[in-house]
Amino acid sequence: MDRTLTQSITIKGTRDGLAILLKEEGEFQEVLDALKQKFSEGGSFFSGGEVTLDLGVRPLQEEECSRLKEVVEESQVRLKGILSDSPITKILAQQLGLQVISTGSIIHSRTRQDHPVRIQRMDGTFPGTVRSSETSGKGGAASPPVPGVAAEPTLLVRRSLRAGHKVNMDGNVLILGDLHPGAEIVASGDVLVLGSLKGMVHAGATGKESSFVLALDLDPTQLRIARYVARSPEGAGGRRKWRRRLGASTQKSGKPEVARIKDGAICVEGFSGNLNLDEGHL
Amino acid sequence: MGKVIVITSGKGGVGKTTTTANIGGGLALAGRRVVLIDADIGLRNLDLVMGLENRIVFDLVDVVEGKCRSYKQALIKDKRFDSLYLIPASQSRDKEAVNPEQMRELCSILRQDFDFTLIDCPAGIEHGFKNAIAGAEQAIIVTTPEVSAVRDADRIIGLLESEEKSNPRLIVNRVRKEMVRKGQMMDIEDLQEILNVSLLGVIPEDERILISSNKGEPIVMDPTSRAGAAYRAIVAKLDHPGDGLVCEEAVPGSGVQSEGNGGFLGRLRRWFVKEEAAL
Repeated sequence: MDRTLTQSITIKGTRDGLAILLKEEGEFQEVLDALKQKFSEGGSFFSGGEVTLDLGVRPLQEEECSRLKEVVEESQVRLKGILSDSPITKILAQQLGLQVISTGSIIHSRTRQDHPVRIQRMDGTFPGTVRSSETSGKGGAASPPVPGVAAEPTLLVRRSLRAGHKVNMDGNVLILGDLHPGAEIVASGDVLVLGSLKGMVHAGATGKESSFVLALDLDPTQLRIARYVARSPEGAGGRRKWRRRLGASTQKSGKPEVARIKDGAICVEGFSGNLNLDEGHL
Repeated sequence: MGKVIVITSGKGGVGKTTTTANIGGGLALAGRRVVLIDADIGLRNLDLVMGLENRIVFDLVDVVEGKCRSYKQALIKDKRFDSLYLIPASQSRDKEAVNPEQMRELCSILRQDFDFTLIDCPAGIEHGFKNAIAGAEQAIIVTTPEVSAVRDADRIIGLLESEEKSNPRLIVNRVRKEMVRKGQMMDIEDLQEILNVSLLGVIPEDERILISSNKGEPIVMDPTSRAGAAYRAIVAKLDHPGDGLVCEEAVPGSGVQSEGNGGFLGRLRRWFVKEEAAL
């Protein structure tokens, strides 16, 4: 048995059956090859019970997800479901007909390793956690993480987005520029526009209702947070309406504003430098 | 080495063909060697507007397909000018008859023989658009002060940026000063802010344009027309880029500046300067 390959996957027995943990980092093809090898060697080891595949935080591409599905189907192993901490992976798996188990309903077989402070890669393969002090000593207990730090990747766009441009991001989005009418941002996390937001924004697109949208000039054609949709109130009089539709400012003094869900509706408030997020919203 | 400029808009009917004919005519009047290419294959108009329809023998598709020995056989010389030529489009083919690579080849040849090659781009963002921009290194965006035209222009600018034809310049056509004054039509500063590209010129609405198109006489030849004067001002800017003698106002006497907005940091500074001014 090739030692390096087998580290891509780890098998654990839990009271709910067998769980196969797939390595969260590195080339997915290596992990798939290891899985294939394990299945073909396994023989009777896997029969008679159901297996859970634990993907951890690894975000999958659509193509990787279907390859995974193929490997499972070819092996004739009975799959109980997929366990994943990545919203995009969960959606993709569901679309492909794979059963996705919510992390609450099964005993965690993976000890979630908390990495020390690191530079985050924009593709999110090394999610980080910010701690209030360094962990020290062998196996010393980790100090609690600082609240309000999003462990999702953030896309930084250093330009304005024009009509026809569309950003899809599993994570947060920050635009250093304007969002023209006709441009769109769809993000699973928060959206911040350091400029005029005149296009369409969907924050919390995978269902996170604690997501917010912040802009120096919040004037969207349509604004969505999770499953809520809102459009800017019609300006008084015809002149303001057509100016808004063009993308011209209806008032020159743009104040920074934040939109988020409060009491079951999207609500816009002035932003004074403090978001006042509750402790529970991480 | 000459310049190859594409005149595009996204939206149809805003004045690309008229602008191509008039800028071309104006440059020729200023003594330049100019060739105009009608890239709107299937719906050719540039020849009509120039009054050269009855002299067409070969067209752009014939050139790229090799039906004529060289592009020179397809050139139509406009006898009213010293050095203005036209390569017309085909009326019976469609835009798939030409591909971007062929356009690039043709433009690289024309660049050596002419001071200015102006390409009249068809409306839309599909194959015809891709053909027209392929050979050009500069772009002029034509728009009118109207919601759909502005939105389409924004899309086009975004597409040009992805093709790395950066710093396109804007011509705002069919402006009615009275309506702007009454607040019924957007003003040029608003347009510049929305589109965020540098302004090349502003053409006022002029009913003589309709007459001149029908007659096949580009209005730049008319010394009494305001639109003609505006086109001549644009030609002066194109012909002397960065020349200190050329006045910085996009339209003389209008007080409209033509500089861009200084990029993202310039725009960001305006937010905070405004805040301070409000205090």
